[in-house]
Amino acid sequence: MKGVQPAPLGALVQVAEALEDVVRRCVGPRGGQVFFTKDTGEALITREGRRILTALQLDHPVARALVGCVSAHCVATGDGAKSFILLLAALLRGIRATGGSPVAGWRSSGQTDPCGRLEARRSACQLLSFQTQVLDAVVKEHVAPHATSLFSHTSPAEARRALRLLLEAFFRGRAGQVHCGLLAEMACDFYHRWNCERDRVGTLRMIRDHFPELHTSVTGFPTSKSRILQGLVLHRDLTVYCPAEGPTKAAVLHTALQPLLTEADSTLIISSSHQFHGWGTWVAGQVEQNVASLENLQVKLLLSAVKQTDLVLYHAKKAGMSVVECLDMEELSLFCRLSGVLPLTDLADLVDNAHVASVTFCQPVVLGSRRYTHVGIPEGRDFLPHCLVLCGPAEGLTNQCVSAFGDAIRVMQRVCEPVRCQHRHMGKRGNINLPSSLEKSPSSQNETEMGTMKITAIISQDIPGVLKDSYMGLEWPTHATKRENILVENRYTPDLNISIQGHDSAETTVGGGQKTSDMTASVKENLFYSNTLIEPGAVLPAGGAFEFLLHHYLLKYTSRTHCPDTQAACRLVAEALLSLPRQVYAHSGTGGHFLKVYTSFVSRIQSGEPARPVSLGPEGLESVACKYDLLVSVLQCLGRLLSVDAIIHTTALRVADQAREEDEDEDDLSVRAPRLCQH
Amino acid sequence: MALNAEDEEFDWEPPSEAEMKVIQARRERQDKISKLMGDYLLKGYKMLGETCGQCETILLQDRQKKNYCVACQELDSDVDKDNPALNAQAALSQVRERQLAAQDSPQVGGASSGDSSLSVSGLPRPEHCEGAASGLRGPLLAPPAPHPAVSCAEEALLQKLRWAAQELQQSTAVEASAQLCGLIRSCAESLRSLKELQQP
Repeated sequence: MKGVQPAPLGALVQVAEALEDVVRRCVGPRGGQVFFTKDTGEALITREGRRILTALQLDHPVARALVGCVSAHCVATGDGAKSFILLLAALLRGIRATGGSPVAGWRSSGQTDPCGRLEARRSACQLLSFQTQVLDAVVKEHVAPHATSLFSHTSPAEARRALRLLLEAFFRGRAGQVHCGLLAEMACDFYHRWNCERDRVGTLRMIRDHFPELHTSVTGFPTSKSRILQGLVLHRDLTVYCPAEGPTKAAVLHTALQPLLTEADSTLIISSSHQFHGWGTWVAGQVEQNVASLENLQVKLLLSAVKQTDLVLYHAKKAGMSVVECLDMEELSLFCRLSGVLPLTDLADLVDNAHVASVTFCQPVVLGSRRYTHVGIPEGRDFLPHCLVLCGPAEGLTNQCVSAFGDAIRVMQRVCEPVRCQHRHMGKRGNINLPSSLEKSPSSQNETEMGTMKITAIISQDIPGVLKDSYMGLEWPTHATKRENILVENRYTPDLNISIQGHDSAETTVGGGQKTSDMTASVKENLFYSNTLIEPGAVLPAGGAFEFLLHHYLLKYTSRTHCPDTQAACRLVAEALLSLPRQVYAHSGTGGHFLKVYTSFVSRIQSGEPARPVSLGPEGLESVACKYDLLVSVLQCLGRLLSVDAIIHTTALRVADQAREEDEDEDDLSVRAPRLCQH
Repeated sequence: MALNAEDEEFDWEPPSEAEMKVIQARRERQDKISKLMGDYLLKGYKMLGETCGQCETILLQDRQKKNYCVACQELDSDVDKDNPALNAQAALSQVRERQLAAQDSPQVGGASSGDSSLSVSGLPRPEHCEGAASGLRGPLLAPPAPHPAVSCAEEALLQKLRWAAQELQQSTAVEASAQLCGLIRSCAESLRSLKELQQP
């Protein structure tokens, strides 16, 4: 056991700077890529920050904690690993520079330095209070008004163009100049084909959750061959194929149609061959009966999670049914969700129509070197399912394409969600006053629909122990005639920070048109807890607009406030923010780009013009919500790291490390022998 | 501790030019260390949880399980050649600088003392000590002014050499040529010994 080490600021800065140097080569549209090779000969070229950081071999506990934070952030938001590290390193340098006297602040990291640790803790507290007190206010009042909305465009062509610019900027940083246009166009197309406009957040969430089942990766073809297919591709071939024209019905089976001879762990005693034959006849009769009852329900496609016996397949073929076996449970559950049916677990349920789904077509499809089943699913309430075929010349590049696409969907989901204030402002109990303007809605609906209004509650992200973005449905009656405020008591834990938003279903039940938007707006304004920082769809021009704006307004805030701690924190964050665009513009030719861009942008803001595109460089958009999330994550991670006092080394390997070491043993067989000798 | 901190705040002054140079040099050193560490991490080195005993930099480990300190083994060997305590040439250049400084005007001693404080305070390596000692022992100053008798002799010898060479060209007799050759040889030897006389 190596013992207990103090955790000095110097070590933290060194680790952060080393990781920053690794990551900085790949930042921005003109950044480079990292070429990884394994001992097995596999090669990968990537510029994805998270993949680069997790591929490095890091034994230092601070480095591992940092990479863990970055991974968690990327899983939540889909993007921003490199920016995370750059911002963190810049903040740490700023903290080190302000800690104590300038020369003493550079004391070597090994000495126990209580002054330095105290300063570091103080900085951590300053930053956390900065986030809650200053950042939210500045973003809401000053930065958000400069943003345009993706959803405010009048013509659909304009809206599509704006979405495409956002995705292009994302893919340029992830997949490079060559493929970014193609992938952005495909993502935009995918979004529109799914009819996401009806329920943006819900549909995108579903796509993101089921993304592994919604895409097929094909190796050996150029990326330009990627395309979108309607319906769903099931990743198994048809065992029995009977071509059928037009729409058919399908059933999802979780059990085998042939009854089992015995249960497991039980013994069957056969006393005579006559008995055995009798049993065989009975089984055949059962199978025929089951297939016949399926045929009565006009089922022409069987999707089975288990392998069916030959007898079943024979009868199915006789009845003209196609069969797909051994499907993944995730794929089947997605199919059930998209078509709105329940899977068959008990054969006695065969008479029920709730287990029979309608499909528009079913055919085999050849993707790459494999044959899969392609089923068409009719349009649902809110969406029309489509799936992706993503191609790449080599496996590594295909995987990169797939992960970039998945993260793009996550980014789109984040853009469409509003950003709420993370802490409560006032109110101790969960009483929520709804305004009387609710009753002004048109009474074209019938009584029952007006009687109840479904409003879903969204729990904000930072509450520990609660699943992020989990929905709870709260229903309460509204009186159509009386014009009075309605008090709703929070039946759930009053300590939860609940913000109420008029859900889309409320809009549809109460009525469409302008009045609905007025209603939801007034609901939002009059609620105690709900405090939207950033509207859904808020975007700024890419290339540093967010950083410049926030820097400018933070410095202005510094002159208005009198508390020295707040001033110090504001200045620290404002300076650190500029490191991001500085790095992006460092790659593009002359070093004077950054200053030129910065000064022209600031002069435009000061003269009162709206934030036009910043660049120099290809046009693009970036989401304000994602940038805000990044800043908040960095501040929280930094606060946690700075408050560490000591590092205790233990010999117990984590499970993940053990698995990784075992994998390494398998990979480099040549090194295995000396390793064993050492042990 | 808190009181001391307060006192320090009241007495805080902006850093002097020497201190700024020190800070700048340290920042550059840290940047170089980070860059080297980043390069090695990308090459497949592992970042360990330990720090070097001498310079407190984080250690790296290569595939052969050998520990490697970026600052000690790579950076400081570059810096060594400028460090007067460890290198003869640097010592000589520093002595010349001091002489120049003494001739022109008194300079602020802070800068040079700041530079020397940059040096790694590790154990001096044996192979450099001799170099340092020899460097400091033998100050190479400008060569002394030549003695007038020696220059006279040189001139005379050169004249004789020129005359002998001309005679050799014109002479036809064998014995005369041999004697002239002998004269040229002895003039050259004399010149050589005169030159040795000039250099100590």
